[in-house]
Amino acid sequence: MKEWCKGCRFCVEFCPQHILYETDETNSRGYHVAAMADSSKCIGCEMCTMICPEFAIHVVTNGEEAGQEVK
Amino acid sequence: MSELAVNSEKTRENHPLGEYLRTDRFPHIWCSGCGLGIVLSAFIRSLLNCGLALDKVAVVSGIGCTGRAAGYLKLDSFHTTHGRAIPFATGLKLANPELEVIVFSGDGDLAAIGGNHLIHAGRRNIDMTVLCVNNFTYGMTGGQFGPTTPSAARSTTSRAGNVENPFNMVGLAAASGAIYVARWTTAQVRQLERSTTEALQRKGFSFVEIISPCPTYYGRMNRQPTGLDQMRYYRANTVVKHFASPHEVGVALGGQIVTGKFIDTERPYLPHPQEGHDGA
Repeated sequence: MKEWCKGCRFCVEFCPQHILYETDETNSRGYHVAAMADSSKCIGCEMCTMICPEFAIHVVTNGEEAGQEVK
Repeated sequence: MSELAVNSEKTRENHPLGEYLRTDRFPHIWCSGCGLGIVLSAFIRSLLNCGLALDKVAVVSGIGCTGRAAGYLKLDSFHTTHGRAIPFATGLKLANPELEVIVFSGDGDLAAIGGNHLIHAGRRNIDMTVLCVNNFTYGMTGGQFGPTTPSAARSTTSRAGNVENPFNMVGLAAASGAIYVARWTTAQVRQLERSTTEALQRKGFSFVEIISPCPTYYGRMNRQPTGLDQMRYYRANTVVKHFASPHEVGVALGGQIVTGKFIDTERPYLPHPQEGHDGA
């Protein structure tokens, strides 16, 4: 959820696969939101969900494949 | 792969914890880099792990940044006066022994103005869980030093460094008679969730201290200007020592943070099970 993100970069730092990054895109509050580089590498560990203080990110599993993160 | 969902009502409802949050109040007021949201989400997950009936859960919070947590939970919650979260919770528990009462508050609330209530709730061993989020400062009022601010740490009211000795919260809770005492940092989310689950299951006064970043006041004054800097510091300087003596695990400025479960025991608690009014 982009509008909830406050650009703290906890998810970027704590993702064990290092596939999240901070974008240049800003939300309406001016924070740089995070995004996922390569969804095929996501292992669905939900570390980003747990570490996000804003409840802005969570893992969406699609069938057998783990992983699309929603920001 | 699923489509990238954006800020829609549907997405909010789809967040695994969305149904336990008052999402109309989001985004919350906590600063970027604050750890309170991490603690809140770990707490909700541990509530779900316990399988408690959520209409029998009451969250009581005091004043301060952490006190706002009760307002974001879609549970029975009670936002009380400054420092008096534990007395309100004690009354709630004694009048309704079937309720699971959780006190969710900060160090300024529980250790400073509510310090007396904390030690007496521990002495009486009231069956409740206290989650104390310790950010070492008074965040909401402008970053004054408080009873947990480490010696030599700078704050808006101690520009040259704090001259006082801080309280060691886990030592205080242990000395008061708590039956479950643990400390974690916000960088240890899985351990925190497991520990909070255990604390909720214990019968008696359970105390979990959670060390959390406050980049806006504490971190900025002490060379950790962002929440991420503080999280990196926690990750690099945290050691886990289960059942270490809680009296020897004080937190010093720039020093090692000893975390773990320090006490896990049993002793008679209030309200006494036979005296319950729940007809049991």
